[in-house]
Amino acid sequence: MIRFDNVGFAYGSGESSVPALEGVTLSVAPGESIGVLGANGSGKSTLARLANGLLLPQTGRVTVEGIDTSDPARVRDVRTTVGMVFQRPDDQIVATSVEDDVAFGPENLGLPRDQIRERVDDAIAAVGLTGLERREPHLLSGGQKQRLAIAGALAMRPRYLVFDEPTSMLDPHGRREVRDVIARLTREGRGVLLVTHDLLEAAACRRVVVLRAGRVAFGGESATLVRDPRLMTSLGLEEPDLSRLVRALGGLGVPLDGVGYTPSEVAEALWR
Amino acid sequence: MALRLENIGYTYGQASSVVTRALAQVSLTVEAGELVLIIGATGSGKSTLLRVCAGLLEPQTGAVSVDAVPLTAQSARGAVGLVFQDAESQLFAETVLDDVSFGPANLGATPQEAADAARRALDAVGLPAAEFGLRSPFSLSGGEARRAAIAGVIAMEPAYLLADEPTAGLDADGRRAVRELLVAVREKAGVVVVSHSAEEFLGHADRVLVLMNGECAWYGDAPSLIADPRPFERAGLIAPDVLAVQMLVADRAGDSLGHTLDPEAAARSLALATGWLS
Repeated sequence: MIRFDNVGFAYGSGESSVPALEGVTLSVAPGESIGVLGANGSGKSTLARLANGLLLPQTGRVTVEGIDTSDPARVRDVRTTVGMVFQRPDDQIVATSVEDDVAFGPENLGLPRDQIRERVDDAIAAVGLTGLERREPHLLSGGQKQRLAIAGALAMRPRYLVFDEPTSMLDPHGRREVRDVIARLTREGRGVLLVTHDLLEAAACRRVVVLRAGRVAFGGESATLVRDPRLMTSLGLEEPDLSRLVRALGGLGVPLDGVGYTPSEVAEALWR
Repeated sequence: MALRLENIGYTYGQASSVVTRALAQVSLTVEAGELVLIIGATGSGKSTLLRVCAGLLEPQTGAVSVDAVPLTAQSARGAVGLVFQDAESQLFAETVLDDVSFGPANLGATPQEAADAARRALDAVGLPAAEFGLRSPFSLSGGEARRAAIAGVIAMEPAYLLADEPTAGLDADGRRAVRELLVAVREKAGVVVVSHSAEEFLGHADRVLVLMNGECAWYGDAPSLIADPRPFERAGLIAPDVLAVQMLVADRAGDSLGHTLDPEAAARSLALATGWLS
């Protein structure tokens, strides 16, 4: 479990201190995914960085499988348990071929050669890049690069993955590729914390947290949020066109209980 | 009065061994007061086309003209303004007002004229100089910084304003503000928006150019593309969600619905087509 207990964090110090998070409590279990929404500056990225000890809480506590992220002796345990994928894959890609890039983390762990090979092959397969092992990363599409960054994190065999706006620089196809990978990783039992601007992307997680000015303004089932236009507006979120469509169909008597928010699921439900 | 591109071809690296054809036979007209949307997958040539429109790249074939005058790097100055991707990363001055004044001053305006143009531009983007002018550009939120960067281009009062992925990376409020701003700029300039998703600007666009592998895959009125969104798939793109649902249902029903971007209108026609409404 990743657990935030009444966590507070501020950038800077003294008079110029800017609070980024206040009183945040939440938890992510293995196999569970949580979407984190909020405007720019609401504290989303700070929350992501606290989850694997890149930042340490100033008040409250963050624990990973019971380990306090502030314990200097356990930094490595925390980092190998919680993997991190950032917005710009280019910032995270270090090597000149796909397989070398994925191998970078396991090599740093000092693992034997055959174990590194196994981890690299598994991670590349998990993100669907098999066959591109020798490709130079700069020749990959945006979606492939982001999947490579995910493979790099996966090669550390983390139990949890934290994504900080992993699709915001991608075109719609790249976005779909990355979303599919994230959904599969969750199904396979990893815990996922997904920070995003995209309401429907967050709603694909079972639970959603909405941050406003560093505080949790909403925490609950994603279905509750996507179906309630007033709640979305009150949280400063724009209702997606697809949820407006689903709501209008419901108003016309089309039963859409439990329908996911993708065009194909909505179209399928209309024929039931 | 129009920005006109005829049969544009552009190839990168002609002098080197790695030759990449970015554009071939692309034509486009942007009239004053129009918003033209250019969409295409990553690598389809969108950004190259925008640089050709701005006079930053000279096409190897075809012709570009602004109001019937051939476009050169020189004639583009002041006539065509380009807002780059991540435009706010180019903010540099100590105050927002200085930053936005830079363009007009560089075009030869006196300091007073430049400051006046900057004030008008800041008003136009919803960052009034009285409130924002003396702040550091680096103290602005993501959406505000993007709008300040757009103000820097508007201050040069270009007849044509080009924007490359203007809403990418912004949150809902930031995206809405930038979208409304660019739609409003149309009163004073021809506007070209490049985007990899059509969702945001399709409903506001007059015309749409769909690029695929550097070629025109579709070019026409926005309402025609909404009525028949098949070009999205043909160009390797994903149609906006509401249109995608209508296409899926139309395929299976075997007849064409009158597609619409409006979710409520779409709900009615979908419920009719699938027998939930008669």
